[in-house]
Amino acid sequence: MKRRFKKSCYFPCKLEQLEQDLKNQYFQASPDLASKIIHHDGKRCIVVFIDYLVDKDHLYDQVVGEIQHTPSWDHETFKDTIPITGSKQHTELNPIGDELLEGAACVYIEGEKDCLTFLIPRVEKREPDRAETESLIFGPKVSFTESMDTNLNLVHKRMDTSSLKVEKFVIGNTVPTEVRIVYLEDIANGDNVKELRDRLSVLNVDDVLDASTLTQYIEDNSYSIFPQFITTELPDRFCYSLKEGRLGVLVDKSASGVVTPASFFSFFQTTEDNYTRWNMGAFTRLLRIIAMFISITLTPTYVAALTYHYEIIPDALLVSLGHSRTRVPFPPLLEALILEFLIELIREAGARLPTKVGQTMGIVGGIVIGQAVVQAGFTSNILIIIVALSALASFTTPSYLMGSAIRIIRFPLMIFAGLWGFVGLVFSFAFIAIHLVKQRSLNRPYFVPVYPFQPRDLDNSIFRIPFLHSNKRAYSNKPKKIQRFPKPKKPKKSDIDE
Amino acid sequence: MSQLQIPLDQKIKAVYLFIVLHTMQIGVGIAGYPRLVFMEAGRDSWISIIVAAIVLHLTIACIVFILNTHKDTDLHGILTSWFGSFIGKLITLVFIVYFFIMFLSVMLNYIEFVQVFIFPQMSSWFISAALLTLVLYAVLGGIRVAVGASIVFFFGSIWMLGLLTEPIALLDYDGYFPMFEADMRAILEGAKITSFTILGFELLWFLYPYIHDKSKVHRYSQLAMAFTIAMITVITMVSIGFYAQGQLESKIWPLLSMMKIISFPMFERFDILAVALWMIIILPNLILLAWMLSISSKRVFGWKQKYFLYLFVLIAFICQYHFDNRHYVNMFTDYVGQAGMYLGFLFPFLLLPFAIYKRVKGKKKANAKN
Repeated sequence: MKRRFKKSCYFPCKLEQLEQDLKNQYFQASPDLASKIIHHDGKRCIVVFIDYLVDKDHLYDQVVGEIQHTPSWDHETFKDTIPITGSKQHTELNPIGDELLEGAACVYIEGEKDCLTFLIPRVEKREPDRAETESLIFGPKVSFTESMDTNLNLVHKRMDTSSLKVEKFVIGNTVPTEVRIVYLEDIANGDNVKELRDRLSVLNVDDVLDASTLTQYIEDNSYSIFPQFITTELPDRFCYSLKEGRLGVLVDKSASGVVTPASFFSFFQTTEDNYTRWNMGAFTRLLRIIAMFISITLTPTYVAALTYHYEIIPDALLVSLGHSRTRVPFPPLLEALILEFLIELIREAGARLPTKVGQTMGIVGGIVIGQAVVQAGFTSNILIIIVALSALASFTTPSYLMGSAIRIIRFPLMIFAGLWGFVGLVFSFAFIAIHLVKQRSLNRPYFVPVYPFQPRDLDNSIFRIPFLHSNKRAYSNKPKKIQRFPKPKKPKKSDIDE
Repeated sequence: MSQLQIPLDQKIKAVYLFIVLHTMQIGVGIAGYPRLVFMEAGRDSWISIIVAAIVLHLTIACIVFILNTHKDTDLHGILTSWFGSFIGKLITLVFIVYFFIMFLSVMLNYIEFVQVFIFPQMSSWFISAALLTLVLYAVLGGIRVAVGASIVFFFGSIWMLGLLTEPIALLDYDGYFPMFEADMRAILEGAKITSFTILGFELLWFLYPYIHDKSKVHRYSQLAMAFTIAMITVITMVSIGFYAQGQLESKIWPLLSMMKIISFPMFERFDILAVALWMIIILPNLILLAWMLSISSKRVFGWKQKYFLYLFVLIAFICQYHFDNRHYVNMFTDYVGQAGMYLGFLFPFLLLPFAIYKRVKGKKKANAKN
């Protein structure tokens, strides 16, 4: 931006002069700078704006319309009559240019000493829609959109309380982006808030693309495969986490909210576990954790058993396994790698293709290739079952990032199992365990409630008990108020028939 | 130098002592222990265990008493403040050497284990490289990760105890009778064997300053000892009842041989997995020992803990390469046992009079002030 004009001596000027200067000096002869000159009582007034950045309805009804209907022309009257809140007076050219970029209309009466701007930005946004990546069967379906206003509105509507606090940050040198920390002041831990604030305020990057990109800038260990902050597109999950004492981050132009601190097991929870009855919730939660375990272990165990430890396979199974593997020319490791690779190909192709073609892709990949691969003697039938099962299990993880992490760590596990059998497998599990213990999320331990061992938190993370009995928030988030509500009094125990 | 200033976020809860001390005691030894004690004390092994247990609990009480005399310092700090810097450093060095040999012996024993049961061809240096990688990765995270890893591995392996129900169902109760056959000398020999197995509690000397709530240290360390004793009692008794006359003596690792009969519908031979899983039983030993070696060396020599960790891992790797032989494995194990008798069980009682003297003097001083 060139500062060619001396301070406070630009105005008064000719209308054409103003328009020309703005166009040439500030916008490098942009074709989109539009203007309209209005005549009244021998006076002339110009309205300058950028065509695609202002709301046309507001412009014509409330700015141009009001100017035409106002009998006496001066800036003070305009300020009163034009019903737009964000109005400013400027005496220089540069701030006017900045305002125009934000979606303002600039109003100037010929001969006046300053210039008015009215903020009427046009914001393209979609209405809150059904959640796509984290779908719930039971419970609210609305998801965040790309607009900060809408997202804040969704959060505020869900938590109509004065303790909801929102802090504003602007991050990005090239493209400044608005980032908000959202938390419940009387519940969230002060140290956590301070830590998050510190991390955001020291962040010095050119651009925050999206909420998920922001997490990669501020998370504790960027080298880990496991996500350390929860990224969610569900406002109800976001709000539920805030009520548990976590902190939320919303990023403008991003359709997902970030929740922190997160623990490893919180990636396997959904709010649906809370909406369904407790026994079903507990069951599905455990199911997901078991599924994760199956997804990691099943194929590597197959590889290890078939490569080195034939003796662990029961006789009956060994016969059919041997039969189906007689035509397979590869060692088990290669066989499993080929098939897992195939599954990943189908998944990735399905994700990239448009929905309708994607379904065909599934059929082609699943049935045709699956059948043909076995008949051609590339893999055994049993491996197809195992790989399909572990792929299925990995998709039960509600968090997409965690699901992907689980699918990816299967590959090194398979390789270790193929090279050193169960010893390799246990080695890699031990490595993952140490890694998880080492991990932190916003300086809070990641592997709670296993370590630090918090038996009281088990019901909030691994399974679930009836709400009347779980009246405490998770200890591991260190909330200011640990109790959600006082424990109800136990009814007097009575005899069977009384 | 004698007082350790440890930031609060590096401290651990006393509850973890229960698991940490227990996992330190249980290692490769437990697999072969029933045979060794049976060869000495026969059917009356349980009496040997009880004798060893009494000594163990007394020793722990003594160690905690001495540590409580000086809050917030480890063995090195105590010795330095009582006998001066030279003796303090010397005895800490003795402990470092002792723990290092223990480290080697655990590692070599596990390597032998894997080679005998699963992969006779697998080279030893490879297994040790794998183990040392894990140790390095864990200890680089500091005390919290070392303790945390032990706790996760404890939960990852303790369920195997439940598998003993299968052999328990097959017990032959005649195997326990007649009782009280062994003579006094046999019982004591058995107790000595037992005390070799339950070594590892000495780590408390060095872990103490890192405990957050010191008042509970005694409770949880005693509980850990009781748990270990209960565990080895169960394992020994099941082994004695499970094996027929003369069989137990011929099995080098009775516990593992017993696991051969455990099978699941889709998993015929559990012992294969058990040997691999034994890695996570011994890893806490290695990790905590490596942590202790590096932190104590730092206390003695004053260089960075990181360098000592790398150094010890390197030396351990080289040593493993040189002593890859059954003869050496036995030799190391015996050394550790012998040294453990003195350093583990006798040493605390030698320090006890000094601690009492300090306490009495401290009280007098406090009284004089009042």
